[in-house]
Amino acid sequence: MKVRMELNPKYPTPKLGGHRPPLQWAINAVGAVCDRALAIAMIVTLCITANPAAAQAPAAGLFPAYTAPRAIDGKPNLNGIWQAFITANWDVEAHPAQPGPHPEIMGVWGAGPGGQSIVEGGVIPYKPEALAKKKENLEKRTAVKATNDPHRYDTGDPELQCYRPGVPRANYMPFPFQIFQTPSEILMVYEYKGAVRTIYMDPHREAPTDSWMGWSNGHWEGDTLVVDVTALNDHTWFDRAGNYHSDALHVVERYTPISPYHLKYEATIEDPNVFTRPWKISFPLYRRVEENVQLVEFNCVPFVEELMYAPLGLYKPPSR
Amino acid sequence: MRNRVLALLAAVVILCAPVLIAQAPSGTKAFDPKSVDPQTAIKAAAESAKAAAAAAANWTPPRTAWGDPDLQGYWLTATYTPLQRPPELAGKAFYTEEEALAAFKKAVESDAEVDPRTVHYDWKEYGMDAWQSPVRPNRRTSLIFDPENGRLPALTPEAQKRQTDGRAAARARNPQVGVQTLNNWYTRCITGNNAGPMTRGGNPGSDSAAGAAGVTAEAQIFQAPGYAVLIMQSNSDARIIPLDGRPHLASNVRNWLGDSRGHWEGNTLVVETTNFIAPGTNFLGGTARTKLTERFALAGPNTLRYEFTLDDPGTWTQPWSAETLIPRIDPPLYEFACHEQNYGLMNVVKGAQTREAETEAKKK
Amino acid sequence: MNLKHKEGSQMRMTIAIIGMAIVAGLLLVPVPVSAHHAFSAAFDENKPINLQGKVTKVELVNPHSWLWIDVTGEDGKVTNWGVEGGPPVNLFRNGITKTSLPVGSEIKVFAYQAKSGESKCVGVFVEYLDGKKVFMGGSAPGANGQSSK
Repeated sequence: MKVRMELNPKYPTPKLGGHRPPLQWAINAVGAVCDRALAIAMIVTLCITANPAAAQAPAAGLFPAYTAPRAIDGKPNLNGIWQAFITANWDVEAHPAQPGPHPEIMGVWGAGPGGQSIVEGGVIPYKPEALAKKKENLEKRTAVKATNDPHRYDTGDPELQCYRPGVPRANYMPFPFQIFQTPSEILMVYEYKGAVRTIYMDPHREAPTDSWMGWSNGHWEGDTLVVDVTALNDHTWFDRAGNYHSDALHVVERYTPISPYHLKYEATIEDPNVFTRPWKISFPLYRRVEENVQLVEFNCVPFVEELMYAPLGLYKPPSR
Repeated sequence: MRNRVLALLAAVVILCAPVLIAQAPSGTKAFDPKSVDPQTAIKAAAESAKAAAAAAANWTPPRTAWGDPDLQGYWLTATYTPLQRPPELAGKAFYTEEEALAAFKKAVESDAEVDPRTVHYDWKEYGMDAWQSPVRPNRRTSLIFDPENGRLPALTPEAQKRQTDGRAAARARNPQVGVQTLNNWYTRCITGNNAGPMTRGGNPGSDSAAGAAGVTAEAQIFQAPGYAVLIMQSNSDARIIPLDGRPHLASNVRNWLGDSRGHWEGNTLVVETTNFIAPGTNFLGGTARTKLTERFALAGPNTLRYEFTLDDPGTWTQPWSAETLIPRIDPPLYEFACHEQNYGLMNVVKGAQTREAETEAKKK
Repeated sequence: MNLKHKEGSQMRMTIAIIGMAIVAGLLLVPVPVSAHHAFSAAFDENKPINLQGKVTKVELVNPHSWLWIDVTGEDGKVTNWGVEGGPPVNLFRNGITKTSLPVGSEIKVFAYQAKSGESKCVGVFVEYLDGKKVFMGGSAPGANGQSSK
């Protein structure tokens, strides 16, 4: 059905040729009214569907203003099970689908999906020498070199060995996590490895040393939970693509409820050893709403014992 | 790096002065006398036990903002009381107050005895003996109170056969020494040493590391509406306990920490945990049929009463129960990234393989 | 060695590993759980050593802290020794932080060497050269910097 652009002065109505002006006029008139009606109907439909309160899914960022119900601390209630549905764990920058390591064994199970960048501006602002290191990481990402030697961290992606993912990666692993909220502390328990983070709200505390999941002190700015994460060690990666940082990493996270079922997650990442400036990621976190939904243990340590210890001759399965 | 850390700390102090809790590095802090002298520690523990009992007398159990009993806080699971009643104390379930203190003193002094000829950690170096924490004397002579004799019930025939088979396999060295022969989940960093029951009791007189559970014996109870969360310092193991009466996971879904469900009985939180992967030596030889029932209740403002029952028809001829009183401690817990730097596992296996090789060589 | 060399072998995955753990668990003698792995498995009580050197790295990680020191032998050769210590949780509760033992500090250690013969040991006594304890060297009364026997 063609809509003639009669409402747009740029496209004047073409006149039909012929010698029967009155009929032609009538046809034109009826046609014009119908087209107009159709046009109006289409515009009204577009208006309705552009309204975020309507049935069709709105474009991202078009949520209506939302005030979350309060938790016992009088702040927005973040209690619940949340999960990200992006592919940033493969690569936080834009990436095509890939066969993954060992496709000759793993087939589609080991393949990686394509995905869009979660980095504002698209690309991580590496220093030139740091970018070279990232490329080296990417090449060696499946290297495993367990050793009782302090140089053991010169290996590939720590996730491969079931190491704690650090922050912010824990929040975009393809696993749910649960938030428990009280006025003095907010607890986050991640299904991946049962990794735990405590966010000290009141009082704030000081980290005695670096750790894998860092040390988190939080406060509220309006309805946004702001978490200052320091004391992160330099052993974690941001993803499976070799994006990395030093122990000067400092992350500031922001969690903002934008609907009953979505949190807006943003994180500003700075590390003057590796990046030329701070950079930012953001993505939605979705509430898991199934009845009786719970975290199901994902303890991957037993899954990697052969991978890590067999090369050292320390893994001996029973003989049959 | 150090300057950056100091600058960051300075910034944090300036910004958060009213709420910051500062920790002074070694050398600038006068060490708590309780943590460097056994006799001071013994006196302090006796006083703390008295104070806890007195405080329990006239006290109202607190409630959370949403009305559940409030068990939140940090708790010390270390104890010198053995799991099983020693044979010489048969029939005696409780000490008098004086006897309890004497037993405690004996245990502490034995723990603090340092013989450099034995391979051990020294409390003077690392502060990890139980008496260097707020551990208290206990009037019970054993943690087990049921069976009444304070000892583990008899093993089932099935469990006895497992023992015999296990010894035979070890003699046949099958499997050969490797990561799997270390059946202790903690050494492999699969779980911490408090997976399952929070406390296993101490062994007075044995060396500090193997004995009195002074090693990372802290736990945290966290509560939010509809949930309790139990976090063990050891391996940062976290158990999420829904309180809404939902069913357990399907029976084919097995967890290293099991699957917990809780409900309130008055002021007591009752937690039932099933769906274990066969606990093996970690629960004194239990099978996957193990059911752990725990009861948590405050016994005073700074004391938690903890009771647990292990029920495994594949291992014991009857369920058995233990109880202990747990002192409150200061926050926080620290990350215990056991697997991420498990040099110990590699050293232990290498050492065991070396010893095996030496044994084999001697045979020739 | 990396995964590229493992193409020919089977990649045992989840179920096999858990299966073996269950089998091993069922076979083993039930014993009271010791809270810690046996020292004698990793370290040799017949090989006590005395080391002195400069700290190159301090790892305050659980379950064991590790100190790494450069020890100069009589022949002038420098070996980096790893010294296993206690869990840092207890150290943190006593006020120790990552800045307490700076890299470059000179310390002496009485230890037992690893059975494997590697330059690793378990640190029994860890002191500065003046005898003051590295970790528990606070100035509280009753603290003594001397070894007990």
